Amino acid sequence: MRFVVALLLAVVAGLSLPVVGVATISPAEILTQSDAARGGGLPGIHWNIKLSALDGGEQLDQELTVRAKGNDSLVEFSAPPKVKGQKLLTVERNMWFIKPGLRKPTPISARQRLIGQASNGDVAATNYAGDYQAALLGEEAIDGEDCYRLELTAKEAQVTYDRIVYWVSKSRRVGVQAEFYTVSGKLFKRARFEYDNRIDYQGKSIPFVSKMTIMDEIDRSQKTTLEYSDIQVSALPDQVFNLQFLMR
Amino acid sequence: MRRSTATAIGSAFWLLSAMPCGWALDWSDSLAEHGVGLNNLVRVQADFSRSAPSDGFFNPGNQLAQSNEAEFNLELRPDFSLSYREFELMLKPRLKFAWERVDTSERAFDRDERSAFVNEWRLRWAPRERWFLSYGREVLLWGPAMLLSPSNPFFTDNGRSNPFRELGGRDYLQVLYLPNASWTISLISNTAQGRGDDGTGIPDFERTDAIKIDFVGKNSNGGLLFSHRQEGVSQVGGYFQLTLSDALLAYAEGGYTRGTTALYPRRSAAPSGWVFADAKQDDRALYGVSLIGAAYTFESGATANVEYLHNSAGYSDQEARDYFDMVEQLGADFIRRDFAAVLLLAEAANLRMPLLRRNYLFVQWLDTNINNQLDMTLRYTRNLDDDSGRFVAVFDWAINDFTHLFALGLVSHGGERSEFRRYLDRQWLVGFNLTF
Repeated sequence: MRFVVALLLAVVAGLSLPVVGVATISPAEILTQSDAARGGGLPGIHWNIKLSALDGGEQLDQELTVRAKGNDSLVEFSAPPKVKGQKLLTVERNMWFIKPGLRKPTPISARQRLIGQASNGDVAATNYAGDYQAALLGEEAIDGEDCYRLELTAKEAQVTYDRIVYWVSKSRRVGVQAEFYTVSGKLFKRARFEYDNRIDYQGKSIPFVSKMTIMDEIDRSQKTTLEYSDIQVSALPDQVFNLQFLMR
Repeated sequence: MRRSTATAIGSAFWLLSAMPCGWALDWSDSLAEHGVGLNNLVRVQADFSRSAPSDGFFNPGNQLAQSNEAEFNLELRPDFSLSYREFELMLKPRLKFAWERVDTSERAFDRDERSAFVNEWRLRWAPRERWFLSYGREVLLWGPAMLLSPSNPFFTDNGRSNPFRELGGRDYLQVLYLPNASWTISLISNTAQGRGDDGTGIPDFERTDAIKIDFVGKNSNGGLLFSHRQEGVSQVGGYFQLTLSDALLAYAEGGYTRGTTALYPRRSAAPSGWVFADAKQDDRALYGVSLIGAAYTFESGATANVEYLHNSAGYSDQEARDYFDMVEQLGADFIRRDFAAVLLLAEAANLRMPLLRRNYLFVQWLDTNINNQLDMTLRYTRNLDDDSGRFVAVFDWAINDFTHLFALGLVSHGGERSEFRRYLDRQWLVGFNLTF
């Protein structure tokens, strides 16, 4: 009997090994690496987003430019004309919305919705490593690709989402799927990520997000797509993210 | 409208309809090859409004203020900005046609205005990294408060009560220094009135110099400002905002002077029996406006703001009684053709402080992107001392990628001897905005 128990324990331990053994890298490091592919923690980067939303059967499109540095980002809307010139500035956990003709910037919160299912926090640079405590839940394949399954819990109340379950590719170290939960624990939207862009970072060519698809889990007819293009890595001066320099 | 007026409107429309094709040409790509950054935004706005001025002692029969009862505005608003190396130019010329109808108890008449002007412009030069020098005509606004900006010595009105009217720019010389990403130090000199009205009620322009220090922290931002008006008082102001969660912001803003230039009613031996006096100018006590507020964004995306404002220079109950007694007397004198009352009634309209009494509550409900088309803002300001109030509703509907329709409605309530019923009872405005 003792032999059988010992054998069972050995089998269980053996089955557990891949989780423990493969994760020689900590969940926080996995997250830091995956952030870089979504613009987080970089010294200066610029990209364009084409945002398309299917909302209530209506197709909505917007084009915007994002400049990011560390935890700061500046989003400028360029099309359609009705939103041209609008800006969204994020400095750490502070956010402002600037509208042409309304000279005073409006302080806003990360929760405010942009269009479709995209919130302000979705279009800004991603800094999950700074904003969330990561724990490894296990491993799971997404579309046949082995991934770490991480649970991200907000370190502070100021971030866009309270809890995220995040799948990060083991081989590419990029986030491929995310589930976003409300404070009450309800799943309210899910996102998939594609990485067909590449950037040079720290002497290496790393993948960079090319598409984010957000699906509403409450109303499944609603879908929002963010397509990323024209990625440029370059140093950005502090005044780019200074509120007083944004009023043209 | 007279025939000439109709012709002018027609001409303006023809000009505006022909113009955007050329103006909207985007040269930015070819200029970028030469290191020149160009941004342009061209808007055309037309609006029509009707107003119901209060018919009380402050403006008997609308003879004194001669406020319009109907107004039409057509404006071309191109915005340009150009950057080349360490230079940046911003230019906002305006072409405006305005018509209004004024109806007083004695006569009714039309008047119109055709004007071309530069509402804002600025040339900025960066002589060294982190140092910036600029001169130009600008609207300088800051701070988190929605009702008004007490920390700002240049503009009390923050432009939010009617977002379809542009504030006029004032002339500034500025030096900015950014020691790092968190701090900004600004030296600001308001060198000329420009097109701006500071709302102070001080008739002659006086240069105002200020030093302003802004910071942005991890969950907070704020600023501290010290300003000095030439031949006038010095002011200390500041604002602070805290991000408490992904949905909740808390903020405070204030501006204070030692003594106040605010005007108070005093009985006198003058023929009218009253004068306005800056009775507390030499007072050593601190006077000013303090505001605290919070904003919460609901899961639906709508945001509610609540603000409480205390105006320590505002009138007490007795001062308010004197004020309304005085104005009733002056209004009666004005009706009896005693034109000495005109000056005092004009002063009664602008008491060199932003609000009449001491305690105010402000609430705002902002819901944007309703059905991905409609922005709605509902604002209510209540004077807690005399229970009068003003409700403003603003709707902005994007009917297609280029066109917005908008509407604004304003209703004041309160007794005859209350702040918000002094000059304007009701107003509505409708219009459209084209963006190229």
